[in-house]
Amino acid sequence: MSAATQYYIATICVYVGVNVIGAWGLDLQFGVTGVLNFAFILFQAVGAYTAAMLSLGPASASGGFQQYLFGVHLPFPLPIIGAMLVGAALSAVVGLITLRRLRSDYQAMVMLVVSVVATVVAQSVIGLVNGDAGLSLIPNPVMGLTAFTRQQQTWLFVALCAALMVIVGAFMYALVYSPYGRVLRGTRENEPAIEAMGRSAARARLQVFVIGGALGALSGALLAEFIGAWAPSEWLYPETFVFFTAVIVGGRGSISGVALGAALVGVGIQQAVQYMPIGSNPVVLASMEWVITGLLTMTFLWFRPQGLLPEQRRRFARRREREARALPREQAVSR
Amino acid sequence: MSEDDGALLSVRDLARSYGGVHAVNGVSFDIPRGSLTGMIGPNGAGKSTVLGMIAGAIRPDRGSILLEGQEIAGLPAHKASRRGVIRTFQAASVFPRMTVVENLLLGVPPWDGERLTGALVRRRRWRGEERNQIDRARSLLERLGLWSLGDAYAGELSGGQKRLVEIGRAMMSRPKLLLLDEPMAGVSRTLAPTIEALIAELRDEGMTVLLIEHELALVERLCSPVIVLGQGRVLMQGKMDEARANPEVRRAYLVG
Repeated sequence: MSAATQYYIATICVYVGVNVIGAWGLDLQFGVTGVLNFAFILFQAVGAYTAAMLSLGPASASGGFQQYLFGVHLPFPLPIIGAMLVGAALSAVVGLITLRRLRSDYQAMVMLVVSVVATVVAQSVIGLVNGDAGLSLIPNPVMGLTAFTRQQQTWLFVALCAALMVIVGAFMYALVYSPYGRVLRGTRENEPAIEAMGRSAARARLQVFVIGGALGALSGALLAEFIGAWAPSEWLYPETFVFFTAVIVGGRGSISGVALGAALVGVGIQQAVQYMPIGSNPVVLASMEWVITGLLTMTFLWFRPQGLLPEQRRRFARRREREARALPREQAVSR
Repeated sequence: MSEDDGALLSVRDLARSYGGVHAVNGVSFDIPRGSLTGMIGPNGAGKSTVLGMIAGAIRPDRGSILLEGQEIAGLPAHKASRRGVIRTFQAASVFPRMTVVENLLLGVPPWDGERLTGALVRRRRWRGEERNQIDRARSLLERLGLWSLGDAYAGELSGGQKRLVEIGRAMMSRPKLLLLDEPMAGVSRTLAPTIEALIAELRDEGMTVLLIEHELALVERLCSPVIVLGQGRVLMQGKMDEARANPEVRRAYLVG
């Protein structure tokens, strides 16, 4: 396999991993708990910027060609962990303000506004994250491993993403398939009822907001380290809807479904567009991606709202003796 | 403490208005321990607002609600619920895309296994407890006649079945005070007697229940005492035949 092909495949693998981790974060909020976080992309962006600033070192060190709030040079995996912590902290702040008092449709509107305002701030306050130009030369943790070739380094990063995806996936299953997850789904299904049964819906929402924000930040950190650059154009508010489409197409609340949806929507559409007979004008190709994403969302909401791999019905094993006793009656009911 | 030792719940001078309209205007009554108290009154009398305030869903403007001598007025719904005040809703309120068994499991008062940390560590510890809860839920389903529907989504059930699930969920919590908001609303004729019998059973088992209803017949068959509400005030409190004889009550029903 040529080096270019290898790099192409590795890139797709990293993008799948990053998208799946991010989509799981949104799935926990929107799919499982019903929080309409229209600012999701902001938390991916915060993770990307934080990881960049925690690995770039002081702005003056590289000749001051880019400006940012502060910078240190921390070894792997601290920039990634730091990104998750900052993502969680920012989620807690935004969540505390928006999730407690407002009804969920207003929450969604406020989130959208937060996302747009954040972009404008990042673009216009140059000293924050270098404005529209964004941050570049973000070090990739595998580049320091001089014992390996460039290609091997790339595959090492793929392995890192894969490992993190497996860990986050296991974490998602543990969370969602537990009594805790049941309260989250109850919050999604019927807020007055879950409150009437003694559970605080506001608390459940805030918790998944923070956890999902940390997962979004993790995906952003990995993405920024892989690309080596991060700018406002990467995280304009419509990007959030790519994640929403992934969750809706895959299956809200379904962990495997959302992984599939993230791979198909986050990476698949972009790749498919390249092979369409619509020329190679990048503007047309990019617009085509949005058109397909939007159509997919609408198609699924109309015809298959449960998604490709719907959320599983939770069945609990019955005690054997009771099963034996109830068998005749059950047969009578189901013919 | 309330003056009457037998009262589980004492409501005093409770009031709530919406934009100048006094939905509830200085209501006081007691719910005796172990009673099935009925609250009747025409539409707009303020029954649901009273229930909402006891359950914490609606914040009272003034007044006091003592549960076993403890003030619960103004507590948010989830905290009132933790004190043992469990309600049902006028439109049967289930978790539609969760199974019937899961609906009942959410009736169990908040417990350790539901914590975020519980989901990640010491999973063995809650597994056993959860299994006991599932067994309890299944035997309750047997009693409710819903045994075969345990794995069905609650949203797929009929109105009456949903009502049974909702009352079953409340029973799972072993409430101190059960608030039933028009339990026959949306229930078909075939299931209405089942639900009525269930409520009578709960009464006979000694559960304290406040039942809100605008149909007099059901309250007459089940409840004692009754509280009659009209235009945000208590018109009378006592036995049903006294209520029927009361001229003020008659007028309220004719007018309402």
